[in-house]
Amino acid sequence: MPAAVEIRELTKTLGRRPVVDHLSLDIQPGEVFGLLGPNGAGKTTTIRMMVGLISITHGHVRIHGHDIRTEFEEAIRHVGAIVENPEMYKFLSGYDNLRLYARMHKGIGKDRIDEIVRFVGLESAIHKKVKTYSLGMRQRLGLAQALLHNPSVLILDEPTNGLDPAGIRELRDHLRHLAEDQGVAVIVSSHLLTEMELMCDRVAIIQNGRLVQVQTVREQAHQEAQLVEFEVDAADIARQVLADCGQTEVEVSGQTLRLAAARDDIPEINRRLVEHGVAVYAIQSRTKSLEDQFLEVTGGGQHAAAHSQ
Amino acid sequence: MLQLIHNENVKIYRRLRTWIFGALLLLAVIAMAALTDKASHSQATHTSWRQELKQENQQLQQTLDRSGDKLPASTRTQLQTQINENQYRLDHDIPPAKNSAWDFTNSAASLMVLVTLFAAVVAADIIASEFSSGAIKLLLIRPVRRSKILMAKYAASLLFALALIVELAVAAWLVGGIVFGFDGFATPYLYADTSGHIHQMPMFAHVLSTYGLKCVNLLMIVTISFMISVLLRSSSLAIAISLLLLFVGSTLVEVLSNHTWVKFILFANTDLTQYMEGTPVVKGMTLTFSIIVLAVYFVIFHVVSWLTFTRRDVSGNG
Ligand SMILES: Nc1ncnc2c1ncn2[C@@H]1O[C@H](COP(=O)(O)OP(=O)(O)OP(=O)(O)O)[C@@H](O)[C@H]1O
Ligand SMILES: [Mg+2]
Repeated sequence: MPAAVEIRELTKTLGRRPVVDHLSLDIQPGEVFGLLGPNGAGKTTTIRMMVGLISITHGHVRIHGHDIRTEFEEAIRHVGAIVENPEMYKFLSGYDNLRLYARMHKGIGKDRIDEIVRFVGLESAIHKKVKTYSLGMRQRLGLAQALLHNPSVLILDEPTNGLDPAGIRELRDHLRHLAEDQGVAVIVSSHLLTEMELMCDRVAIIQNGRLVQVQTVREQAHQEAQLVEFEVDAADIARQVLADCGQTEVEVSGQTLRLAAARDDIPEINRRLVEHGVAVYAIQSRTKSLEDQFLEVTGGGQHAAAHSQ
Repeated sequence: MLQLIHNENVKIYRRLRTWIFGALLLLAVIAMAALTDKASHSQATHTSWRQELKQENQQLQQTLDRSGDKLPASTRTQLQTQINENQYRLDHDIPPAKNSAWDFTNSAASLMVLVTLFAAVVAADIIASEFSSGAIKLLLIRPVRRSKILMAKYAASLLFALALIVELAVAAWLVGGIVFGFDGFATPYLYADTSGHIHQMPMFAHVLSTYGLKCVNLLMIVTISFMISVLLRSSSLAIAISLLLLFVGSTLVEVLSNHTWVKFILFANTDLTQYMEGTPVVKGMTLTFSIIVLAVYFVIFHVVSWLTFTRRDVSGNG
């Protein structure tokens, strides 16, 4: 399947400093893709280049094969986006704002506007002036304008900003629905790790404008080695049993053994222990969360920055 | 394109400010009528206008004969022109223009200053405000090229100016008609050419030409304000600078009028009435010269706006 969005060697230099530095990514239809990075990592700058708001110093962005620079109209037609905060015309109602955007696309009628208003749950406030909206309501309206023309690429910069927990949950469900049922390629940026973990299929970790790594969120929990703790009555015997079946990197502290094992291997290890007469009181899987990985790859020093909003 | 202009119109006319401007213009017309009304009552009645004109001409002639040498040349010409005009009226049986709807509409053209002011504010705001509020981001991620958005915004600025002109002219005609009566259409307008000869033209044509000449100034001011709007990200600053230019421009030209290079300044050329009545700001300027200068400025303003707007990086929220 061709990528919905193809980013190659994307670079933006402001002054002398590269703010985005040779970034290459492919985002597929039907996936929720996260851009994760501490403040100032270059997430917003990348998104701005993707939607043609700022010039590209080097490299290119293609949307369904259309270059955003040379075929702007053809490329942007497929894109719905929120870049930073969704600022709209405050002196107009939410509905009138949507009508303005509807006129800039082909074939969006009143029905579609009403439909999208219902989808984002803004029916009760849609005829009020935007200046009376709360931050969360503005985000909803922002989502509405981004989805109005049924885009196949949805780009949201910090979409949970200002949403309450229920709103975040709802947004997550919406994005999942759009990706899975409609095949939309969804790109979200955030510096909130746990949120990205819940929302995305894949996450690109970005630091200082560079791609550090792309991490698949869901698979990782099952196939990759994770830290598992076994609480047993006889640590020595248990250790011997594990050594016999090839697990030599075992850390023992008191009655607890700590080792790296894939999730699928845990039942087998447990069975062996029990076979050798070791009583197992507890098995705890210490999932190495995206947060741990994030801090690992970006260095603990970024911790404070990553959590400050 | 029409949809884009429509969008810009929505943004202009849904704002309270726009309607305040409209109301102020209407008030100004009414106030002007009220003041003119008083002034005209204090004038003598026109029943025996032949008598009066004859008397006036005698007096003027006496003044000229007796102290003509001591008077400055311009005053002498003025007196002579007045005499010529009175004589023309007597010869052609045209009574002096008394206030009428047409006459008042013509005088109300002086309120084009207000129209220019309001139109400049709207034009200076139309792009800068989108940058100040950040709304520009959601506007530019549509399948429409930036140059089209720019054109739509310029068109909407001009349409707003046009709406104000129509409001002014219609309001002046109606208010003038109610206060002074709707006749006067048939009364021709008299004017003197440079050699002091008197000519006449239809009143309607005269009103049109008065407004038309003021529109040249308006067009240039709207265009320069629009360019400032493109260049600056702060709408209040853009408005302030546009108004500063509007008010200081012509004064500056007058102050510096003894330098010949002043004739290349935009504001020395915007007022084309200087060629119809009175003398040009700088000696040697001609109508053709002014039109060329204006055209050059017009093109420069548009090129600067276009280059800036289509290339600019839209980032930050200011
Ligand atoms: N117009 C600009 N001029 C100069 N530097 C800029 C400009 N815009 C952004 N930067 C710099 O580029 C870097 C990346 O900024 P960007 O907004 O892309 O970060 P971000 O990842 O979106 O951060 P955040 O999580 O805070 O939103 C920052 O260091 C910022 O200082
Ligand atoms: Mg950002």
